[in-house]
Amino acid sequence: MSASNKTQEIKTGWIVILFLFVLTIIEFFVALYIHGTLQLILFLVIGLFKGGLIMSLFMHFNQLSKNISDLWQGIIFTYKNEGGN
Amino acid sequence: MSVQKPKLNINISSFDLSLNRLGLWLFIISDISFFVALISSRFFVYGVVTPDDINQYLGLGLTILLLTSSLTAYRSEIAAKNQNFEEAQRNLLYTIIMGILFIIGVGFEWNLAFHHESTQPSSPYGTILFTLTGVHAFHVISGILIFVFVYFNNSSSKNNYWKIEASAKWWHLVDLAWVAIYPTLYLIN
Repeated sequence: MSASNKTQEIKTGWIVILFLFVLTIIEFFVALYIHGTLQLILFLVIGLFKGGLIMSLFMHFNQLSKNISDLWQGIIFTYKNEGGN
Repeated sequence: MSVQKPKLNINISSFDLSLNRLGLWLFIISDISFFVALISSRFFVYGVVTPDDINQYLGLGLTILLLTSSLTAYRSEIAAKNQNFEEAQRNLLYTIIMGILFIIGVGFEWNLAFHHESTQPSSPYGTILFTLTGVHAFHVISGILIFVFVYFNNSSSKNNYWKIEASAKWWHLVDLAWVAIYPTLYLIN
């Protein structure tokens, strides 16, 4: 991996955490000043956005499709090598 | 006559890593469903009201602490990916320290909750508070133990990257669960 990639990944980490902090503060003020159904909707939207950020950028959720594809390739290759069609 | 099998044209090490990741993701998804069930029980048992005795600033502080620890876990993973195991170790240590501080904060929260009628374990809200924060704290403690294990079994090998990646993913799950628990327990009113 190149140094620029590493710098980019570290930068991504800082941007994500900054977003998470800002959204948490927004949640705090939403709890203080907004009530009723709108509050619930805002919490849901903010929570989903925060969860999405963590899953996609910190947990690399997009890797999952490659992992599933690797698993299927492994099954298919093994099957062929064992004499399957 | 012996028949030689053709060799598989795939990188076994990379394949193993893919399987490890897939297995971990399945475990994480199953654990998320457990948290979803627990969080939904809060609305079923106590509706959308939060007692005034809940310390909002403590909840906010715990959230900021856990989010920050997620950044150090991420940085540790990036450092290990770049074969910089010294930096990875340093960030692991920061994450462990913040995890311990979080547990102390939860202990403080529990101590406060015991002293208020509306949040005692025998009350409906107290049941939810202690169950949710207790299950979450158990995950945090297990995360800390995994990090301590990785910290003391560190070697500059390629295999070590997976250990750090897996423990960091586990930590992000803990963070993800708290992102849902925080508004559910502290903010909704």
